[in-house]
Amino acid sequence: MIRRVPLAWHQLRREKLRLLAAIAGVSFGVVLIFVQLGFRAALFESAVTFHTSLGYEVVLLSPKTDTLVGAKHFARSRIFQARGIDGVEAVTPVYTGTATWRNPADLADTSNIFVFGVDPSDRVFEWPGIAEQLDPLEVPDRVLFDERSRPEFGPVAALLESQGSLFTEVNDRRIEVAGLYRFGTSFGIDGSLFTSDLNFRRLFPDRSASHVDVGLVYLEPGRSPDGVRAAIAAALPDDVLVLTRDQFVAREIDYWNSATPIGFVFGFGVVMGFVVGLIIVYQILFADVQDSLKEYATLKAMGYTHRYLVGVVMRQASLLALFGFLPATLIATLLYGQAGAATNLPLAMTPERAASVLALTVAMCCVSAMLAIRKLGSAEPAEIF
Amino acid sequence: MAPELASAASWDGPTVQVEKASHWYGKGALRKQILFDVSTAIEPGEVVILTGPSGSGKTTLLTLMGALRAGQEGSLRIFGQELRGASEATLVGIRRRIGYIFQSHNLLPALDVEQNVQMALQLQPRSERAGRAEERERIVGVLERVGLGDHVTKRIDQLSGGQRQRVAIARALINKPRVILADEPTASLDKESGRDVADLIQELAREEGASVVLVTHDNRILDIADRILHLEDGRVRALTDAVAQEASDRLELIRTRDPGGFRMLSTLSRALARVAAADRSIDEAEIETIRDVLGRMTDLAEGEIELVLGLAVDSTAAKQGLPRERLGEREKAQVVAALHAVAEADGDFCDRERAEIDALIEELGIAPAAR
Repeated sequence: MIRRVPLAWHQLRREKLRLLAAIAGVSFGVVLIFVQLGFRAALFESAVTFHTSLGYEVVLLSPKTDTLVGAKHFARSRIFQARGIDGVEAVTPVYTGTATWRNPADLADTSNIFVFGVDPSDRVFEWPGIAEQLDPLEVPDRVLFDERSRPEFGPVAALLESQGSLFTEVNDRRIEVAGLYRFGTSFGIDGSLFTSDLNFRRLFPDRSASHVDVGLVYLEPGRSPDGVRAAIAAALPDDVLVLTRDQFVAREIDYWNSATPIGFVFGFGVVMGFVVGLIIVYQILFADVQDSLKEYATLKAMGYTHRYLVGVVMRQASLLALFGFLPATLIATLLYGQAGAATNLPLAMTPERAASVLALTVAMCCVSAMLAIRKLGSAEPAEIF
Repeated sequence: MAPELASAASWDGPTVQVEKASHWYGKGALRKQILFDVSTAIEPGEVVILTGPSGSGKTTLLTLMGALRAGQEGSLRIFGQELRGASEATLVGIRRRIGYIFQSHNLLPALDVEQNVQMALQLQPRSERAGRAEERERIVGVLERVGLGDHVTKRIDQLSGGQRQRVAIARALINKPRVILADEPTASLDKESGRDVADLIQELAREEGASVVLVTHDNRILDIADRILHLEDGRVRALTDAVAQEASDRLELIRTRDPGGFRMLSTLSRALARVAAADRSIDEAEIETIRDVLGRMTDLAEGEIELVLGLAVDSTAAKQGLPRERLGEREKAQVVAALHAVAEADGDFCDRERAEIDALIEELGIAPAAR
C-alpha cells in the first residue's frame, strides 16, 4: 500500500477556528440557496395545486387568463360546445372570484378569500372531503372552508368543532360554514371557500351564470389529451384558450416565474447565497495559501509541481463544500418544516433539489479555489529564498 | 509528472559543474547583473561553503544549482544535465534528486514530523517506492540518524528550533540525494544547535558521499568545509584576499572609532605574542591562561579579549610557519626573494640587512631546501 499524506485535509484542520468559520460560511450560503429554491418550488407547486389535484385532462380558459388567481371570464356556451367534441366525456364549468371574508372570531377583521363555485350535480373536484359534502351546499349561503387557509381568517376549524356550526359574513352576506376541505395556500391565494354555483352568484351578485372562469373537460378513458385538445381548439373560435393539463400548469408557472418579479427575486436569492458562500470560501482558502506560501515554495523546491499545489487547494475546496453541505442540508430540512408549518406552503427537501444544490456548492467552492489559486503563483521558490 | 533522469544515478563526474555562469535580474533598463562568469565544479563527497557579503550572489548561485531557476548564460550542469534554458519539467526532475535545506526549516506545521519527511519520500516515482511498513521504517531510521528517534509523531510546534532544522535535514536526506544544498541552515539557531547541525550535515555528507554546497555567514562552522568559495559582487574571489580585506577593514574601524582602545589592544597583543611565543609555540593551555589573566586584570570586554588573542595567535603562527601546512618550496623561494628585493631597494645591501634576513628566514622556518 503506497500512501500519500492527505495534505489538503491536514492544511484545513490546522486552524480549527478558521475551518469552523469556513464550514459556517459555506453552510450559510447553502442554507440560503436551499431556502430560496425551496420557496420558489413551493410557490410554483402551490400555485398549481388546483391544476394538478383534479381529474380533468383538458381545460378551457379565456385567452386573457395568465393565472388562476386572476382568471378572466369567457362564455359558458363554449364549454357546452366542447362537450359535443368526440372523446369528451364530461365538462365542469368553474366560477372563481375573490371575496371579503370576516374573521368569525373578530368580525371587524376582514381579509380577501378566494372562492370556487361549481354546480354540485356536475362531476366535481376530487379534493378530499368535498364529494361527501356536496349536499349541504344545495342549501343557500352555505360554503366549505379550506382548513389549510392562513391563520388570519380565524380559527375556523376549531370554532366549527366546538360550536357545531359557524356563521360569518362573506361579501357582506351572512353565510354558514358547513364543512372543511383541504386545499392549501399559494402566493396568490391565502385561503379559499368552496360552494355551489348558485351560492357563488349569491356572493357575487354582479356575476352571471353564462360567464365562467375555468372549464374543466374530462375525456373518455384511453383518449389522448393532445388529440382531443386539438380537436376542441379547432372546433371553437379564438375567444377561448384550450390547453392540456400540462400546458395549463406550465402557463401558470410561467406567469409566476416571469410576469411577476417573484421568480427573479428567488433566483436573485440563490445567486446571493452562492456569492456569500463563494466569498467566504475564497477568503479562507486565500488566507491559507497566503500563510503557507513559504511551505508551498519549499514543496516546489523539493520537486512538487504547480499542479500538485493546485490539486491541494482544489481538494480543500471540495472538502469545505462537503463539510458545509451536510449541516446545511440538515438545517434546511428543519427550516422547511418550520416555514412549511408557518405558511402552509408545500416546503420539503427533495433528493433532486439536494443533488442540484450539492452540485452548486461544489461549483461555488471550485470557483473560490480557482480565485485563491492565483495566489499560488507567488509561491516561487526562487523568489522566496 | 517530471521526466526521470536516467543518467542521474549512474553519473560519476562532478555532481555540479558551473562554467562561466552569468545571471541577471530585471528587464530592460533595470536589468542588473548578479553573477559574473562564475565557474566551479563540485565533486561527490565534497563540502563546499559559499561565503560572501549580502547581495554578493550566493543565494542566486545556490538557487541556480538547486534548479530553482533556469540558467541564463554560461553552463550549469547537475549530474551532467544542462540547466541553461531548461524546461520547468526538467527543473522539477532535478529538484527531486537534490536535498535542499533552507534558512528556516519551512516544515508544514499542519503535519507531524513523520508526515513532513513522508512528503519528500512520496516524491519518488511509484516504481521505486516500497511498502508502507518499509517506508515508515526508513523514515524512522533517518529521524534516528538526526537524533529525533523519539519525536516521530510529534507536531512541529512541539519541537525546538534545532530539532526542527534536524527534521528539515531528515527530509532533505530521505531520498539519499547526491547533492545537498543548504542556505544558511544555522542562521536561525543558537550557537550550540548551529554547531550540531553543521556537524550533522558534514557527517551525513561523508557517509552518503553526497556533495554539499552550504551558504553561510556563520564563521563558526567554516571548519566543516573542504573548500570555501568566496563570492563578492557576483564574482569568485580568492579567500585570502577576502579575509585580509575584511580583517584590515575591521581593524581600521576600531582605529578610527576608538583610537585609545586600539592602541591598548595592539600593544597588548604584540606584548602577549612575544611573551607567549618566546618558546616559539603557543598552545591551548597558554591561550586559556591568557584569556583568564586578561579577564581578571583588564577591563576589556569578552569580544576584545578574543580579538587580542586572535591577533597574538596569528602573529605567533606566522613565526611558526602556517599552522596546517608548511610553505611549499616555491613559496619559500618567493618570500626570500622578496626580502632580498626590499633590502636592495635603496641600492645598498649591507651586512646588517643580510643578518636580519637570515634571522627572519631562521625564525619563520622558510629556509629553502637546497641552499
